[in-house]
Amino acid sequence: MSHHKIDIKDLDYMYPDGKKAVNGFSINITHGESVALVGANGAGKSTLLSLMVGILMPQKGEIIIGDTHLSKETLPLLRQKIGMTFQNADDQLFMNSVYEDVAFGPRNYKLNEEEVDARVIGALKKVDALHLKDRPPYKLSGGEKRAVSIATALSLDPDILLMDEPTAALDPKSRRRLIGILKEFAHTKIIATHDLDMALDVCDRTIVMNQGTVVADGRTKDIMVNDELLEKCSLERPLILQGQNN
Amino acid sequence: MSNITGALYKIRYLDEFSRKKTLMHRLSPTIKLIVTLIYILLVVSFGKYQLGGVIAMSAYPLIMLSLAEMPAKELIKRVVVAMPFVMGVGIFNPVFDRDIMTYFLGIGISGGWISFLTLIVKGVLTVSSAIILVGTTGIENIAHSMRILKMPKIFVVLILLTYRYISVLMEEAASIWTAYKLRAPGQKGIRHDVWGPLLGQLLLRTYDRGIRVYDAMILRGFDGDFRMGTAFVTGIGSYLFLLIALAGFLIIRLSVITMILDLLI
Amino acid sequence: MHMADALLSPAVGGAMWAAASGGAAYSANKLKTDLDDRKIPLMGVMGAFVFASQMINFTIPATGSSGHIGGGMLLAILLGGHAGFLTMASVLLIQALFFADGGLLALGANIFNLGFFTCYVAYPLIYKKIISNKYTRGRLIAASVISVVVALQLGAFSVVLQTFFSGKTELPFTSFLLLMQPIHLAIGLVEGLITAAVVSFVWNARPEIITHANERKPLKNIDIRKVIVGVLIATVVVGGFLSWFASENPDGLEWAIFNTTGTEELEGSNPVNEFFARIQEKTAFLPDYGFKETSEGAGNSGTSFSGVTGGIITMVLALGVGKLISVFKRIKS
Ligand SMILES: Nc1ncnc2c1ncn2[C@@H]1O[C@H](COP(=O)(O)OP(=O)(O)O)[C@@H](O)[C@H]1O
Ligand SMILES: [Mg+2]
Repeated sequence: MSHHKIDIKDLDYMYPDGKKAVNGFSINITHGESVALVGANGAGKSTLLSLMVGILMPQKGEIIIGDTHLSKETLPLLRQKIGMTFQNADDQLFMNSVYEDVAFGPRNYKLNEEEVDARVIGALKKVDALHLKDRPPYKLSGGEKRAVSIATALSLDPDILLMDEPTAALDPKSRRRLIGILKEFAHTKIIATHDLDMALDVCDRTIVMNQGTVVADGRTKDIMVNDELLEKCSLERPLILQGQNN
Repeated sequence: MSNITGALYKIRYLDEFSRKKTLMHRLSPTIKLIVTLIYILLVVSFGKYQLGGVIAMSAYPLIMLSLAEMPAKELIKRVVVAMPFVMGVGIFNPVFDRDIMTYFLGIGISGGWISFLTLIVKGVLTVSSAIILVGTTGIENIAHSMRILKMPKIFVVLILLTYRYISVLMEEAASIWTAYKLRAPGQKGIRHDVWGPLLGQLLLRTYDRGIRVYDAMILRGFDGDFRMGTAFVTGIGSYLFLLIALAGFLIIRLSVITMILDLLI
Repeated sequence: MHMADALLSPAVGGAMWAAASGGAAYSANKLKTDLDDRKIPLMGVMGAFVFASQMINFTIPATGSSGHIGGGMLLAILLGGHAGFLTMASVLLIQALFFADGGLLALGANIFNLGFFTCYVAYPLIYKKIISNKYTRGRLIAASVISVVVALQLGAFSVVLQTFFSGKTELPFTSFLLLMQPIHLAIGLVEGLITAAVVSFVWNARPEIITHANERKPLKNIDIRKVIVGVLIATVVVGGFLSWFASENPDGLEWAIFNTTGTEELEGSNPVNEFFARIQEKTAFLPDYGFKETSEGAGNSGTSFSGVTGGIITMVLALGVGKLISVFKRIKS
């Protein structure tokens, strides 16, 4: 199943205003890996995720998903393989009911309504949100919105999941539930976050990003106790590891 | 602030109400839309002195309210807000049209008062029927029906998107308003030197949101063509409703009951 | 201000619907061919923005009163004429449905008054002319204020005309005009100033939004005059046609039922037409609910009152049926 590997080589991205948000970024992720992308605000995590799905196009470097180079031509194909959730779920839930929202993707791929229905039900079940099917978005809590936005990605049956700060602004209980759900997914995952406790729980591997580039890449367990590194990147040891020695 | 929360409540109430499952809710949205439009057209087609006729037309919303189990209070709240303009314009009828048209309990009543009342009843009925339509159908189904009735797709999509983000933006507007009030207590509105920044900031955020929403759409395969689910299946009940409603309208519009009354007198 | 169903006659309401849907169909069609897809969600959120921003009150210096934004002009400035028009139409539709602002029949009139004059008249003919591709703060402010004021004056004038032609009120044309125009001059100035403040703020922060520098340009420019002429012709034709029907049938009833059959000109040459012609004859003698418009003084109040009584009896019957339904429902559950 080597076709889900992700190869990023020497990627650069500069915003039109001259801000260089990604700067010589390279990583290699293999199938089924669960990777935390950590870094302070402004480190370039969101920009990197946007580059990986072609919302932004890099000025330099390349992204290879499976065996396919990401380019304007291959985008439609690659987007079927990659599901992404945004930092703000309201931007992603643009329909007037949960069902319609989750069905949006499958319908765009011209599946028939029966198949669409099966996909919607399946995706909602995976995030434990089937009971929300007929709710309007304004009647969802933060945690429910998050779950549904993950379902909108899952309904396209992606191989890779990219998530931008999935636990931000969740109360402790919703956060727990979400972590439980994330742990069950067998997908290749990249989770941008500064919730290091969650990273520790869900991801075996952690990539630390600072000023648009990789400053550390290793086993989450090791990185989370490297105080010097964390300090340098304005991060803090996960709560659960605080007070412990390396 | 209170008007933002009030408006938000009004929308959400109807939105939630439209998700109920009464007999009325289960009828075909397209047929309900058509019946409502015909009803409104018939109501306004009454001449300005045909007070009796428009009163009779109240039969439709009255029966619909019961069938849909909609509290009259919710309807009245909305109708009241809609009336000032009609009343403001209509109040000139009694002023300019003073010819006594009839006597009631010995008091002469001018044509102006009759046409004024007719106008008000018309206002109440047309507005009520529209609200009953949304309350029993919901915006998504109305949008579907608009597609079936061949309205341009982009317009229909636009309605759905606008509707979706009204809630989000009203909440943002409310929080801006509250934040402003906290720092400028006792002001009725927003001072002119912050007009631009205040709405402008919200506008910029909205603009960026629009772009992110687009990104979210293309990530899920959006290619410019908005695909909606399958249309509502129109059952016998819906056709029956259409038939009964139209027959009822006709009976009222052709003043059958008045005719019978005339024969009896 | 929104036009209301009650003030409209079917002919005027119908004509305005025709005009508005003509405009909507045209702009939708234009957008379909020229639109950058990115604009669709942008239009949606901007519509919601206008909706929400109308709820915020702005204090007018030295008056103690307050006003809010109108929206049509701002939408045109941000999105362009076609997209602005369609977005305004969707805002008005939602307002009609959820807030009882105007009504469904008056929706056409409202789209025309608040959308057409802003997006298809004031925006291309005033705003763009004043700016003429040279963006400065002064020009932006002048263009916003003047175009909003003019659009609102036209809108108000249009409300007067619609009310007048509908003939449901006694308010003389000139009095209504003299009432409406000055009020809307004041409202327009406030709206214009708020719009100007917002536009110049956005232009300062993100000029490309106002200058549309980032947009993919349509291949050829659309001739705005064609739209205006088209919509006006549609209005006149449909309005004229409907009012002709209405005046042929002063009761305003027959046209609704018979206009598709064209009984009048086709002389009862076939059985169907004959049949309808006969019904029409019959119905013409039916007593109506009202009071004879020509009746002098009390006239025959007996018949007139049976009209109102008939109406009230119908209403009471309906109330009874409603109560029965409710009771029945309660028993069942
Ligand atoms: N649209 C934009 N235009 C200009 N600069 C931006 C834009 N978006 C983000 N940036 C800048 O790029 C850098 C990286 O941002 P981002 O990728 O959002 O970081 P993170 O997600 O790690 O917080 C930040 O300095 C940010 O200010
Ligand atoms: Mg980010």
